[in-house]
Amino acid sequence: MRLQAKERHVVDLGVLDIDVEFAKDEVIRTEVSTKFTRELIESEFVLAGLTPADWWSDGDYALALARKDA
Amino acid sequence: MQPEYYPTRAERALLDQYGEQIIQRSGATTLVELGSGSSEKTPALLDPLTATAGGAAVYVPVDVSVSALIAAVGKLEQEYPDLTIHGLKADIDQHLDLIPNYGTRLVGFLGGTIDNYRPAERHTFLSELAKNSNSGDTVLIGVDLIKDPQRPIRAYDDAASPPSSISMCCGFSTGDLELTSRYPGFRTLRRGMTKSTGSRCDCRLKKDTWWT
Repeated sequence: MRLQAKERHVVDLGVLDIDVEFAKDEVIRTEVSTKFTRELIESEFVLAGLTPADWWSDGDYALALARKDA
Repeated sequence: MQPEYYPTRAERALLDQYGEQIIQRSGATTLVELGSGSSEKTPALLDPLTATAGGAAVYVPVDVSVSALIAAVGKLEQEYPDLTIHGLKADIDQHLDLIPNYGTRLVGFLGGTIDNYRPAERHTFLSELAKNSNSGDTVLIGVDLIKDPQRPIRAYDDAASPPSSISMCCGFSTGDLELTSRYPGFRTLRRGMTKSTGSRCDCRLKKDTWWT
């Protein structure tokens, strides 16, 4: 997720005692929130040295099981 | 975590429904839970684990918070008198090698936390998991899935938590910023969100979204 400044402005972060200046159109990253497919996470298992073993899902969320083989 | 945060609900439902099957397929006698926190959802796996492994069952909650570990372990010790519990304070991005080596292990990384890693970090994390696993050990990872592109806005608007819960403050002028996403067609989520008042408030931007 990113936020983009629509115009130049300054943000006072009081707790940190800093002012942060944003230029127009400047983008900040606020978080990484990756969504997966079964193929994606299982291919990443394989690349890491794990073998996909099972999968439980309701279509929106999933639990992926992988095994370390000999 | 908010009760309406749907991955939490979805994961809980899957664990309740398939916990027994997960333990069976894993063949594990030890459950390691990374980022265990309050271990609130763990009984869905501990019940079938203790039923299957009996006195050999071991639970290893891993968290950076000692107070969370103490609270969780104290509660589980009462609920599972025959279970061996070994709490481990560790940063899971640094010290997967500290996970104790009891029996056949199922390492759970739940809550969709892996969503917050960038691809290279994910690879490092999964590789470290593999490196620190013995043959036959398994990992169980909760992942949020890509949805039909037509669904996000509708689901977002229908969510129990209203759009204004994306509040911005600490001096951010909400009219000056827009939420963007790299999902094609959903670049701008919502403009002109609730403007905060007052000089002090929580700066809360996190609201999970339904796309990559």
